[in-house]
Amino acid sequence: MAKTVKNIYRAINAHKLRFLTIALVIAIGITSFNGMITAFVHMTRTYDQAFEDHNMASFTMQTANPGGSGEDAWIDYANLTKFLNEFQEQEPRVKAYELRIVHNTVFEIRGIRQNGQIVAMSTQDSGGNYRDQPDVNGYKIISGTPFPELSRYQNVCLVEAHLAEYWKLDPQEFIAIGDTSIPFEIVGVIGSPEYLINQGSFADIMPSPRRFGVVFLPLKAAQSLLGVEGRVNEISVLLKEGLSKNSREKIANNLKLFLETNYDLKLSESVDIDNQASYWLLRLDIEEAREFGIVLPIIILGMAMGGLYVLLGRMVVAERKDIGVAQALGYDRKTIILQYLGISMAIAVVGTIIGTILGLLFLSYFSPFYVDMLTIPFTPEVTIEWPIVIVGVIIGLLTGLVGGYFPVRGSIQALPAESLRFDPSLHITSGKIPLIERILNKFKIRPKVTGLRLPIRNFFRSKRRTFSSVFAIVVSVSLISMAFGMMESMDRSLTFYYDVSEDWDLRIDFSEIPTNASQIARTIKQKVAGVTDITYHLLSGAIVTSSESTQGKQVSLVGMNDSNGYLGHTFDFEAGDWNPDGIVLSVPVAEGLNVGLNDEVKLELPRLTKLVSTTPLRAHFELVNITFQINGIIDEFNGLVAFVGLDHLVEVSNFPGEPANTILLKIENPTPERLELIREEIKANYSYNIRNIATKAEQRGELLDLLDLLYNIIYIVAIFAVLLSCAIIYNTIYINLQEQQREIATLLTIGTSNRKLIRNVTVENTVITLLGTVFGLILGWIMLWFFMRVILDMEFFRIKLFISNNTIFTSFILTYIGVLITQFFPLRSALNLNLAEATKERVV
Amino acid sequence: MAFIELSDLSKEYSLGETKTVALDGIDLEINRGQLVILYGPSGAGKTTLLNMIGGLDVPNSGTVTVDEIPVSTLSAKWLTTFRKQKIGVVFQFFNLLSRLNALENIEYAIDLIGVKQSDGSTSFNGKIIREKAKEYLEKVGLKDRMNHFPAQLSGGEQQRVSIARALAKEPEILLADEPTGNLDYKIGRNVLEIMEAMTGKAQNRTVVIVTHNPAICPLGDRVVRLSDGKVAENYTQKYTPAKELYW
Amino acid sequence: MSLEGIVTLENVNRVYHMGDHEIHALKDISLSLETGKLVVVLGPSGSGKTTLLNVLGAIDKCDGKITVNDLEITRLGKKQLTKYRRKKCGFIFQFFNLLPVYNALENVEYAIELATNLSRKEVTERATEYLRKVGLFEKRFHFPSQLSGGEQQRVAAARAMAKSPELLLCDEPTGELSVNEGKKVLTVIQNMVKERSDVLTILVTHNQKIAAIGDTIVRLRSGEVDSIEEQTPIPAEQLSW
Repeated sequence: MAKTVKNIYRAINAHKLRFLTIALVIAIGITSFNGMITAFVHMTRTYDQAFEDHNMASFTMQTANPGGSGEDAWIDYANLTKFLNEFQEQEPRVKAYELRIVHNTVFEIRGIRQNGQIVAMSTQDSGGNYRDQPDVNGYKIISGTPFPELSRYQNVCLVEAHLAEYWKLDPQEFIAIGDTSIPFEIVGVIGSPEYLINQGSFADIMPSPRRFGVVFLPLKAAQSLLGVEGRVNEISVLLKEGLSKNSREKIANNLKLFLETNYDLKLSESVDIDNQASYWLLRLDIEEAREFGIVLPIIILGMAMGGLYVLLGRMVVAERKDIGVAQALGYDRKTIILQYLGISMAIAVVGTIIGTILGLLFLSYFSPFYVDMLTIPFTPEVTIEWPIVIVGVIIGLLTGLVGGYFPVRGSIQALPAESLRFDPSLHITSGKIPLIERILNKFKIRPKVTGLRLPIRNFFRSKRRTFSSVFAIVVSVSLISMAFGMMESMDRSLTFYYDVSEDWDLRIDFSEIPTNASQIARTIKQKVAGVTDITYHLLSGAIVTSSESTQGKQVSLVGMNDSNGYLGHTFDFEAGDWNPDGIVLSVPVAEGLNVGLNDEVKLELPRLTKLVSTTPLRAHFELVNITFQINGIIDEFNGLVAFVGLDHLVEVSNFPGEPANTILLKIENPTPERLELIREEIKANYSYNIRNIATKAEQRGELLDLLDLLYNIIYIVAIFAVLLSCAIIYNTIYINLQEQQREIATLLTIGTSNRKLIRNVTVENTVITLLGTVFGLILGWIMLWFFMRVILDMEFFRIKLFISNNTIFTSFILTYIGVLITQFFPLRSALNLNLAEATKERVV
Repeated sequence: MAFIELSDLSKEYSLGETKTVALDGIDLEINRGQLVILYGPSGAGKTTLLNMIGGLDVPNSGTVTVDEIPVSTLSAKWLTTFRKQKIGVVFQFFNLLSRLNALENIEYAIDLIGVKQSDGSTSFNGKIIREKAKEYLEKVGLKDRMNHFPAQLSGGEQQRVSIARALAKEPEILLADEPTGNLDYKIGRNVLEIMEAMTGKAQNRTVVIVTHNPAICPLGDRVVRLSDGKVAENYTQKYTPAKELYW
Repeated sequence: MSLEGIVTLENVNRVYHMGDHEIHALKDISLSLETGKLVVVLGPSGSGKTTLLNVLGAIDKCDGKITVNDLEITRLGKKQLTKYRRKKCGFIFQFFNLLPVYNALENVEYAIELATNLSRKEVTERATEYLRKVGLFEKRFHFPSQLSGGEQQRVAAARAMAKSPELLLCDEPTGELSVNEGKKVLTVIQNMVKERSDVLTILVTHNQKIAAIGDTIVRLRSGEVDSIEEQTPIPAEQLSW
């Protein structure tokens, strides 16, 4: 036994570099597994802890018309407290509740206006005593202090971390809130479990802090800011732990019924914690991280397994003689298999150990890295998760076991005489003229025997050899093309989106919906020089449903106005065409709803029931379902989107006048300087109600910030890809030449020049690389599809898959360079062979 | 019944796509303790016959019986056991495991069966195995080279290690395939002397040596000449000691 | 005196290092051999006969001076040695060493194409002719794996001779063959010698009986020339061993 171990050790030692490359591949697999899966656990635990520590509401319920000003928009605080106490008595599962104001408004920070949300709650408990945290939906102070005791009537605020981070806001600074820009002093920066991810609603696909920020106010200050003294518009309820979603919803419905029947209040549907936008997105992100953490290591380890398979399969063939001797001595097949398995296991063990150590070392980087990329203001506690480490060790060892056992088992003969009689060069030769050559012969193309014919024959000499050579190239090319393809697909989708789909140069967003959009547009076009086209949109969230699917889809609905043929958006239709009477859906929405062209879908839209004022637009709405026919389906970057004609939308919504919340401008010769000038001009003359004027470059920049995580993942994949490729190519090319030593020696002996030999080997490897590249690109495409569509499947970003000619070329060239470098070493040793020895090596 | 009995043994094997008849109806009996020379030119089937006796190969037809064991009908598993317990092999090209040094090559063989202790038990203790391996290296006069790897040993030394490896298992049968084929005359004779000393009458060990060298024939108690897979001659003689051989 | 038609060795020495051992494979060998002859180098294993062949074929180095038809090969550089082997040496190895990916014809063509400037058609014609000479015309499209050992060795003989070498070097050409197969190979070699008076054939063997086919027998023992003997060769068909 001791000698067997020694033999394994020395076998490994003799091929250190080759074995090490495979061990490294395994190590990379295990490291990524440990790092990513542990990060997933850390994150999940951290956030669960955050939700628990800060009493994240089990459900929230708003007034029927929370944005409005009428009687169904606000409820009296004192009355509501009484009603809820009453309800709490009959429903003991209600642990706590909080009455708040949640209201969308406008902030002005450093002179720039933007959209935002204020969240306000009382700084006193029910007994009238000061408290620094609400009972439900608490927060974590990141810097500064909570609301001071005497701050009830002061204009102070707490800024949510994303907004603070974006603007680099610190305590003692001021932020102006509301249409009238009332200054509030910042006392602290907070992290809130409600806003772990900066997300207001599903409809906003780009929840950049520039477009959406959250500020917490004392209840009284908010009431006086909004002119709704003594009133609130939202109820957050914390239930006892461990209730199912079903029972939570039941309680929420009971509460709604209780308040509506007993006290004649009007409330909207409750939002369960599972459906809360930020919470939902967070879980989606974590889920994605987890899937990625499983799939990436599987792919890497799968390739390591392939590498081991090739390495050991060919090693056993090369050492057939030694195997015969061991068998002749009386070693049985099992022991010999075990011996080679020992080699592959040793590689796996080394790889697993390195991987596990690296995984543990990087642990404290992995999780914070993720969290940082998701911009979450809660730092995870980094701990070693032993079950994950153990699973990592097991899969690492399994890689060695599977990758080693099968090739070895297949290659050991039952009888020692067969092993001893064995000629490896015959084993790797089929003795046939390859098909390609026979085809060439048909066209009277016959390469010279001292020329191209040899590399062609060599290449096709045996299936197993061809397969493993091509395998190496396929691995390399597919990985590189996939990694580059990922980057390109992202870039191209974004570029297409901004260069073609989004057909505007400046975009004006209003804080209140004006009802005279066409007049504003006309004025701007007449007064501002350089505006060639102008149009306006009405954007809102909507839920699309169809009879084909039980699930609805949240989309941003764009009501498009056709201003003399200018839509502000250019469609890239998969099917159908634009028709202002129908609806255009994106592919993910259509797929999710299981509908196609000319099918009908229903849109849940607000319909105006009572107009309060037109400027600003204040009205009462009810939700209605309107049927639209699908006229077009588009596949573009913005995934959850639907387009309808503005006139049609206004008609079914019963809006007054010509409403719009966005105006899009096309500028002649849109240089940055020019855009800046026009932006200033519009700001100076039409500043009322304009929340933001953005250039395309700005919007694109915001989006790129958001896609950071995706890009980082892609870079990691690309680095792994190149490393893996080197390892596997090195192994295969090395063995290929090693197996042919005697033939090479013969060729040299009968007078083949070194140059010719190098040329032949190079040609053969070039053919291998070319052929492998073809299959590699196919596999690369499949893997790209798999990664982008299955793993990184986010319906709000649709990334069109794309691999450019450049990438095709680059993956070939990189691989080819790898091949040329690796062929150098074995070739050099072959050229320095002792010919006298090498030609006499006994084979039969 | 003779110790080794071969009857109507035939073997045909294919190399690449060509078929070769290696043995063509061999009948042969070898007694325990005999030193048999299997003599014949290349391609006569000597090695194949040796492989049959050692359970390294199986015939297409006919039977091999060794010590009443029907070798030719054993399953692969039992063949392994048979080789392990009964057979020691020496090859023309030494076939030492290149990654193990001289001593380890011998230990590798002893590892298989352990070392019989005086109380009848078998020990697999590494130290005991090492001692025994050393003892055998000493018998072939190579104790001072035990840490050398095959590549650092001359052909004759390699062959001596290989003999020590074959005999360290104390097999009942020693099979040697052209043991001197790749050695200089003097060294070759020295190898034969060692084989003679470590086998022969005193040890009651049966030895079969394959050679194409007629000068080695006198070493045997029995000489079997093979030609084209058939027994051409089969006679016993009074053997000549190895040191008197010359070629 | 012109050295045309003569191969000479002067004080040729070759010392190997094998581990800690020094093996004096060739000790001060001086020989002069004439072309048109079949020289059998006879000796037991380890006598240095293969080394002698190797240094003549320039696949092993040595000290001393070797001249092949006026060309002093011991003074040639690596590239020139390759050219020397390509143009002037034909090798027949003990283990055949045909290229397994090429059929018989292609194996022969390879050597011709390498050594000559003949057109493709002429190369094929000559290769075919030589395969006919060794009796393998019918099997010219067979791959090595489809040929018996003797047939492979005859292809190897055709490969060695087809390029019209000045030296034909045969290392135990029958070592792996049965008597019948071996005899056919030797016959082929003997016939080639008869045809070509400008070729010096050196055949290395340990088998005394085979020595009978040679014009000259050089006996080596422990790296030294034991004896040189001229004789009337016996046709290989008449041999038995």
